Amino acid sequence: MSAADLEKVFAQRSLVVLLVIALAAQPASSYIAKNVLGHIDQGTDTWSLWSTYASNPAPDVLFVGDSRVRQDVDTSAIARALSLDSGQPTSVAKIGISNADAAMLDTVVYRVMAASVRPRTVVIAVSEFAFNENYQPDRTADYWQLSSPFDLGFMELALRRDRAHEARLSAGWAVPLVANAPIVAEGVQCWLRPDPTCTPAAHLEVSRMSPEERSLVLSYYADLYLRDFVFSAVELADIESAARRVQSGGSHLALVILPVNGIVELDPHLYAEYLVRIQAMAASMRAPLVDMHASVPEADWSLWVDPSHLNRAGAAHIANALAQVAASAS
Amino acid sequence: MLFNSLTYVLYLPVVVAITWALPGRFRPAFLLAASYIFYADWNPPFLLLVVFMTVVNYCLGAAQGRQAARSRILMVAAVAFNLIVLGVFKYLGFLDSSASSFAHAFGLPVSLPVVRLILPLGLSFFTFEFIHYQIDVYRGSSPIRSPIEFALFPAFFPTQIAGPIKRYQNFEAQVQAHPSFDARTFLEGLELIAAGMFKKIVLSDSLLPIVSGVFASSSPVGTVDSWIGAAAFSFQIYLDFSGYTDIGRGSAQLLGYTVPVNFRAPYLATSLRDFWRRWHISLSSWLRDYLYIPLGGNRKGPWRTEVNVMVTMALGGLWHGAAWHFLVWGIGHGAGLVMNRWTQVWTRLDANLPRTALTVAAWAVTQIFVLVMWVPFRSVSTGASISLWRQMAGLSSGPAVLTMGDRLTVLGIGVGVLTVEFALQRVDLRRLIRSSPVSTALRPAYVATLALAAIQFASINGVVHRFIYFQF
Repeated sequence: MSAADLEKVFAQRSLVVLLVIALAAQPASSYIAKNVLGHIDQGTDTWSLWSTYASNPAPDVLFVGDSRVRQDVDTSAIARALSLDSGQPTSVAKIGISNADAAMLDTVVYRVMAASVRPRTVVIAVSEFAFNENYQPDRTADYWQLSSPFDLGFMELALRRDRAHEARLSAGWAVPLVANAPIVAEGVQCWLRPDPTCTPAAHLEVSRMSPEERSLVLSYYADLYLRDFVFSAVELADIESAARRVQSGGSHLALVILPVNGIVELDPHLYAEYLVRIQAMAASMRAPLVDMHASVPEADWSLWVDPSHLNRAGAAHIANALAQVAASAS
Repeated sequence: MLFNSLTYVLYLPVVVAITWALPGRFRPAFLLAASYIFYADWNPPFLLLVVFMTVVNYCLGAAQGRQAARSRILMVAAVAFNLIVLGVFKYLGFLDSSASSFAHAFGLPVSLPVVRLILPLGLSFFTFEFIHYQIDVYRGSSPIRSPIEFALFPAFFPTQIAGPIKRYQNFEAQVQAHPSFDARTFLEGLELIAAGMFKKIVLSDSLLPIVSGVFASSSPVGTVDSWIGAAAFSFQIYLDFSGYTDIGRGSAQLLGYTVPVNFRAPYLATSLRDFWRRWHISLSSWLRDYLYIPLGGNRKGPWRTEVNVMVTMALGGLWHGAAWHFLVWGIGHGAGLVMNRWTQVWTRLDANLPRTALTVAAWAVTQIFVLVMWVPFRSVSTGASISLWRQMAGLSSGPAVLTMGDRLTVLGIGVGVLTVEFALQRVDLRRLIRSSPVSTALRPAYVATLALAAIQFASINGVVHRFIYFQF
């Protein structure tokens, strides 16, 4: 065999090896990314939250929302309160996806209601920032992580809801490495050069802060989420869609506003407009809406992790009130 | 569409798969459609300009081809048409602002309308390809008969935006031959793409903030930092442009085509003439064949040769951008080439000097000259270039702006690039590996490693940086 023929044979074999590497990299990237997320986010990532929910029997009551649901909802305490109230064991679960906007919540509710066994009651937490037309977080990774098990209806909905990044989302489904590469990259970086973002979120010691420092943290929150606030009719329609899914799926629906310490004083006009719009929507859906701001004393910082999240004591403090919200669901 | 974007990474495999699935005779039409989609992804209306220029050049080329004795008028008209289009989009604003500046400098009350046109992506490159086509047809080459094959010549997406500037005879021959799948060419294409991505995303983009830190500094920087900044840019532009070229050449090879090599280790050049035989080869050979030689080349005596060199390099500088600092860069290189001719005479007198020492000295002088001349190329104005040159000369200095990490990054990348290229120049490792059984393991590992490193950096950066040559 001539040198050129040999080279050709070796090149063909190399292409086969490369193809095998490329194919193996797809499931491998998913496996690695899942473990990286589990390590970095300690179970608070969308992947872990959704797979935990999907792998357990459907609860009686489900809370769906952003990170406030994850932090403020004490499922054990609420389950206890509801069980005592109804005289029968009641299970409670929560899916709280960080920075989830209304479009994201609609897709989560779609997945929940697409299951053959659904929660009896779904409580959707509506946060003011989710309705800011000028706050558009990049949610593509979350949509991708909600994709398992395969559901064409979900994929179609996710593409509609994530229209700005539909090409990236589709690419992630076709080639999982595309979706997982940033997560794996983050893992590699954390492994090579660990920094505070690589460990579970270091909670602010808000109870030890001076009033000025707390005010600064709240300003930061406002700057990040509420800058140039314009109420989004699109996001409102997305929440209405989620609410309709719950009701048409035969489950009871309630809406809740989880507290942010100082939000009313931060921008009274903004908050008033937000309340009016959400209340009108809830009324049109005939669903109870409870604003939890009155249930937590804002002056008692021992109940807060930071201005927008309660700590364990705070979650226990509002557990009974949240149980009543679930019980009042229409 | 950027070569280093996710869109391209997904677009290319689809185009490659469809190309090979199609019968050979349908491939040119499909590649033309794929190339127009590629162009329209940037700005759809400008596709009309590409199509318009293609139609006009096809008709003028065909008209030339119908005449046994080619018409000089038709050729001049065709070249003028292409230069006018290039001039309108690229130079009108420059001429307008320069005229206004001169008028104001002489106190003339002239108020010219402000012209600001978008420069169509790749216009400079495919204009040069059209001009080459028209001149070669005039010189006796056969025009391309098939409109689709003609349209594909400038539009071919792997070389569409920033070259290499192709020669149509070579390209048309490949299109007509309907290339068949060859594992060696395909694998080499993948290697080129992986290497190009690595050069751009991992190496060049890592130098970007360092270069910006020096060139965009509003106050003077330290002398050492100004040199490091210039060195960082010299490697950034090389890795950026050669990375782009590698991805383009690799993409072409995946489709079964080969396009010209654009770089041959330019920073190992030991003279400025040698540098221009290694740097942006497709442009320097175009300038030689269609500007320098028609001007008379070296056939009209030493004095005229030097004038021709200066004119060619000055226009070459202006081709890069309609700005005075590009002209300074071109004139500087022209002057350097003229000096190079003189020093060649001198070095012949120093035949007794040790050859290695002479080579190292020639290399150092050449590379320092090239590095110093990168300053006007990167600067935003001639004033900014002079300011940085003064800082490099120690005439005005400020505080250090680069960290030790920045300095080590430049040093690491620079030494790494020079070492690898020097080693590859001495030993053709690639040839040795390709004909050895270990290639079955080594070549996939090489591609996968470079690709993973590029993915890693791209994921962390989260930003897709444009290639520098896209602005030209």
